Amino acid sequence: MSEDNELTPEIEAALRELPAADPFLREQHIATALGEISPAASTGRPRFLAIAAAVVVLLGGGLALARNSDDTPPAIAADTTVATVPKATNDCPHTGGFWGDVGSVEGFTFGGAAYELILRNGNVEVLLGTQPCTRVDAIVYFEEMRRRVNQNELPSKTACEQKALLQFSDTADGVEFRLALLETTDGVSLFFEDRCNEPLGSIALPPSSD
Amino acid sequence: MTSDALLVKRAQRGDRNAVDALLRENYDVVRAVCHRIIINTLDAEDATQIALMSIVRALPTFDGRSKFSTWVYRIATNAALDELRRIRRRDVPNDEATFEKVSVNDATNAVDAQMDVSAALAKIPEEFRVVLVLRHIADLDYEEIANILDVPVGTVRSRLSRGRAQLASLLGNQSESQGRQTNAGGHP
Repeated sequence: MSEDNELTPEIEAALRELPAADPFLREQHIATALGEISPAASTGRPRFLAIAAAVVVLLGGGLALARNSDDTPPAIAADTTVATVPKATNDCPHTGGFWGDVGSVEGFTFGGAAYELILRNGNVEVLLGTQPCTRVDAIVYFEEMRRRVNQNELPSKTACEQKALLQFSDTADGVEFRLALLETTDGVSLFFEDRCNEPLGSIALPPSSD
Repeated sequence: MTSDALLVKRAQRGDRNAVDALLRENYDVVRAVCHRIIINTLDAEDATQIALMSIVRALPTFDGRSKFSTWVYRIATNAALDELRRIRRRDVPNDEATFEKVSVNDATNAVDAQMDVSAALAKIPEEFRVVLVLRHIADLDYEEIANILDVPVGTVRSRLSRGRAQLASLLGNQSESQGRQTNAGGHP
């Protein structure tokens, strides 16, 4: 087709030529996307994902717990409800590469281990706050904010009864939503503060080794 | 059934390895579509992530009436266009200030050519840019592009022609652009 030859081969090649993806970022992208596999869709090995996720989390958590026990005492007792928001550890690099557009970082503890919650463009990333800065999981909430705005389900000023580990706000289409990270029996869940019975996502964290 | 179709079937049944394989197989083109439509690297990486997640979430709804790759491109394109809309709401459009500083005339080596193409694409209206990307990066034919963008084939043809002319003009391809230059922001 003659129209297909209107770009010179040089321009066509330059169009297609994109710097290769950062291998780390590529793996993060794929791992996060794999986290979207619906358990309901899995018919062959229904428990596979849960087991795999638990192994990953436990491996990461074990590293953090080991470091905590070597270096510093846990910030809180394992079975104590977090009463204050601890400072971020700043142990992990948050600049460059995958972390280049991090909006904010806050710290929290669960099961005696320090974690960092990283906010980046509608994603919440939970990262182990001790070296080697293992990324545990992510919760994506931007699309839900946008859906609520589009369907005129605007946020109210109510708040969750349970004390939050962390609170923050984010906007979609100029509408501000308040979000809360709440502790659960096996990890953390993210909620809109006006919808504390509908988690946006949950992340399992290893329990205390005590 | 082709091996790709089998892979899709396995993925639709929740086979994690099959989903992983499909994501890896399509990663580069999804990323290329997002980068070439959005231009800004960080926003394009976000769109890439969102596109991959959308692919996984929507896998059970893929009915096989189109090629799987076409379906993937549609999701990538929508993710990129959504991200562009979000960027517009968030701040100034699309790093234009940055790209204004980039020369578009000296494509003497690969790096320069790469920057030139990015800079040139940033100056091309979105509707032309998207069609250029779908045709020349995703290798889709006019009908597939029309289907993805929900516009007539004639509109695809027109946008492609004008997009190519603008790109060639911006990159200094005089033989292509002479007498065919269009005003940025024009419509087919």
